[in-house]
Amino acid sequence: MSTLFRKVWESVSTRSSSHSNSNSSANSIDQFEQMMMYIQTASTGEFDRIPLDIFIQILKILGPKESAKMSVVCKSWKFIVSDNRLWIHFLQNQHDAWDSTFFAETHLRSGPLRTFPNSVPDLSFMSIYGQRAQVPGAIIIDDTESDKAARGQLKDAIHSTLFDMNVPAVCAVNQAVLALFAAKKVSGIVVNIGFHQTSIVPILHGKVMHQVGVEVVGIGALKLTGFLKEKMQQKNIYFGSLYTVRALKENLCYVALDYEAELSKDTNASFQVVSEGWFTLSEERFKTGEILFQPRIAGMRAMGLHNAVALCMEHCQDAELMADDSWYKTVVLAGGSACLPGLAERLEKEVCGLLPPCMSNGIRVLPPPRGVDSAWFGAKLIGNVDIDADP
Amino acid sequence: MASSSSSSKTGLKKMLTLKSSDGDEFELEESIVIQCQTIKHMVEDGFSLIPLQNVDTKTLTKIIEYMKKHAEKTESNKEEIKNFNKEFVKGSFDDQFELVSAANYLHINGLMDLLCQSIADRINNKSVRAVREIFNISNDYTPDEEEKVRDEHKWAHEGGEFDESLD
Repeated sequence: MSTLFRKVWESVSTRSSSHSNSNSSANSIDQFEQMMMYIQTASTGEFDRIPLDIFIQILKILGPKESAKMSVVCKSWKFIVSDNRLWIHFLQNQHDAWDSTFFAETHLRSGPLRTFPNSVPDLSFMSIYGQRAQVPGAIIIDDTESDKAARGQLKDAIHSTLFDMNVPAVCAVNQAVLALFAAKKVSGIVVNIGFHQTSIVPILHGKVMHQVGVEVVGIGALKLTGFLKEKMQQKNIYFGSLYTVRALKENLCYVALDYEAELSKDTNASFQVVSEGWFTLSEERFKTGEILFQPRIAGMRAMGLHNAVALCMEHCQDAELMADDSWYKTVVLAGGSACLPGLAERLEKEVCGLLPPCMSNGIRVLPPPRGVDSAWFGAKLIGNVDIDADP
Repeated sequence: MASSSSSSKTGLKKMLTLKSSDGDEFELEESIVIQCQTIKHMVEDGFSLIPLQNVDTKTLTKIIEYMKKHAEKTESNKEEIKNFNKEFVKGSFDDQFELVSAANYLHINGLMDLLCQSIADRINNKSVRAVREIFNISNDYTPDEEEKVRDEHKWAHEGGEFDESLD
């Protein structure tokens, strides 16, 4: 019996040390005691004689199906077979079609995060694997350049809600990739205008080309709204809240094809915000979106969106990933602010103006294929189908 | 034989002595023994008599047989080594578990892989009942519990006949 005790202890101690900064030590001792309760009477038969690591090694060679089958042998085998590290290994070493669903390796690699209070059952990668073997997965959208804190929150969200809801599996997919799928493409450049920043993401066959480089411009929806707010304050237009400003941005603002020419036009337009009344804007309507191209209008030192996209295309060209260069010539806009009318046309014009004819030829900028819900539609697509080939 | 640790520089083959848990001593060339990481580190620390308390004579003989053969490995005798490996893993599970524990303790990676693969091959596609028989495992589930566990991972029990034989 002492061998099994040692095995369990090894397993528990490696588990808790692998994420030492978490506050799991107290919990894992509880868990450990629970294990000891039933394991004291159990034996793995002849396998008592070999270290747990070797047992796991043999299970890895046996593969997921045989391993899962072996949980019926006896209680202690079930306990060993259910080891999350084993199933993370299986999930990460798929050779079949699951590859194409971009399983959330970053999330899985870190393994079970911490032991939750007893009311919430511990996350079992074994059952995820089993369910995934039978049904296509559900999807979580991960923001393009989200920082570590956001990832942590995402993980917590996965734990506390999704697995309780019996979501069969979770797959974290880059939001930019999803927007591209919504446009029924698997390769191209996605310009994702986020809340705080805009990222320009080159994607080839559904994979983010990090080696080419993701450009990030520090202008996002918040800056646009903030800029419009400032302009309205300068003109002494009273508004109740920032939501009012946002509503005006969504309904009155657009991007001029030719900024200088637009300045000399009469661009007055009005919009009624519920419970606030009518608002009339003029040049703010197109100046707001213009800061994407000319950040200095808003007093910012940043690269213009067209410069960033052109730079990204040059990097794609230099990387020579494909014999055919056309993959990066499709640009798909994503994010709420990308729905500004005229943005796609203007971006196409500016980018073509920056690049030599051999590169600019054939560039197409597509507006968000499904409006603000592009990423959602993209997710729906991969939730239902395997994506193996370029359509 | 009293070969000292300095003799390797003179062109003589340096010899090492391995001592099993039963007290038997085996003298081997260093070049053969250093396939084993644990011993290699001891040699680097200057040991020439290496006591292996966790390995009995029977197991050590087998392991030396393996190391000798694999020390001869060249480009041309791949097939021969392959056949040797095939023969080497033919034995009772009892012996294999003994070997795998020793190989793990001695850190002989090639042998570890070979044995794990061999054990896995012999479990593969066996029925649950056969696995219990072979490894002397008592079923501690009640029939209801067993049914429940089987249900939890139904997908793993689908498809095909499972091997009921006990070899």
